[in-house]
Amino acid sequence: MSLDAIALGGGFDLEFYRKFVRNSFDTPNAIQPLRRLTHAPLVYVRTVDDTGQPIDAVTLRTTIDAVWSIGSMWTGGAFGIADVPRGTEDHAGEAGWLTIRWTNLSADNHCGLADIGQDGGVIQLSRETIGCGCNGSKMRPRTVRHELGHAFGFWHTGDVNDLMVGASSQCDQFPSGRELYHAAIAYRRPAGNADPDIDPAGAVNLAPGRIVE
Amino acid sequence: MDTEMTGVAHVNVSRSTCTAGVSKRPDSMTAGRPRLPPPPETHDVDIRWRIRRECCVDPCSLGRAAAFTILSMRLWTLCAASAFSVACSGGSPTAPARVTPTSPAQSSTVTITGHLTATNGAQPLGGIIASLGPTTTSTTDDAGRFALTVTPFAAIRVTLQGTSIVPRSAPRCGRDLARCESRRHRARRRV
Repeated sequence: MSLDAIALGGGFDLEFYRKFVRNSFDTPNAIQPLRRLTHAPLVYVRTVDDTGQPIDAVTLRTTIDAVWSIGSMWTGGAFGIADVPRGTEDHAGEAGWLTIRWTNLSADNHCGLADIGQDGGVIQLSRETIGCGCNGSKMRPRTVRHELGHAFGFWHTGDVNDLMVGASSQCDQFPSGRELYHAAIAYRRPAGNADPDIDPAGAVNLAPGRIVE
Repeated sequence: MDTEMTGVAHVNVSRSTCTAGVSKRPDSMTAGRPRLPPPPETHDVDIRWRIRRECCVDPCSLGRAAAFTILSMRLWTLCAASAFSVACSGGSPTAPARVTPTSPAQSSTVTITGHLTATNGAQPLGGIIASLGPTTTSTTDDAGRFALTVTPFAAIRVTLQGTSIVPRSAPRCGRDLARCESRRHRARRRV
């Protein structure tokens, strides 16, 4: 049999891995098992918001481009984005899909909100929240990639150098080198892998998790 | 993932030929014989169908039969009287006579050899303790190789520990956990 283990040193940082993969930054006393996607998702971008109002062309284009631009970064090359169809439908809860909705989250001052590593999950983006747009778009590419990071299974790191920092005013940003490095390790483990590196015995059913930026 | 399984001392059959599963045989073993029909629907007929399969048994089946001695003795009694044995022409079941009946307890070890590499870099990891519990351990050599003795088809959990890795625990079973579990399930039904 072939087995693999995470070698210490050489770029691996267990403390960072626990923040990034197990949510020890936001909930240090309740670290999570690995949640991740298992196949390339179809990312459905709704062209209308939750009230039925159409999304302007620049914001829609910026969002779709940002989705494509992440490619297979969040999976260490395991798989990328299958396609980015758009329309007025909603594929929440459907296997193989991620759905981007446009929801007003300004009351909570959030730019985005996402299910964590959930097949059929939802990303909600808020055009109405002040500071969430840039360069003529009402949604920053950075926010789209950040929420995709959540959708692929990753949590906040608390470091401004990381895309998954949690709160940032940057317009455009990609995952940091260490995020890419540790994401690749996470995608070499089955969903449900627990701290420090314990694979589950069989199928794993985790309660859905949701996080805001 | 590659798995190397060696051993089963009491059966004079190489386990390496037994990896196709209970219902499959290498083509070379079925060549020239009439093909067996698919399993019938009813329970009674299904038993006869299974008996005939055992009459046409190949060395792999014998290995399994030895592991389940009581069942195989019963089957051989039935095989002798079974009209279905006609279908076994050209496949004389001589090998079973050479198998010494053994208790299941005597038939239950295989050695699994393994190879440990780094998830982040793929380099072999030496000096790591691979274990299946407090008594079954093996330390990887510089090439990352180790060997563990386990019960055939048993689901196992390998634990890896060492100062140079994040401690790891992973279920493994022979070649493939799902196939292993399936075999275990069938084995329980047969016994």
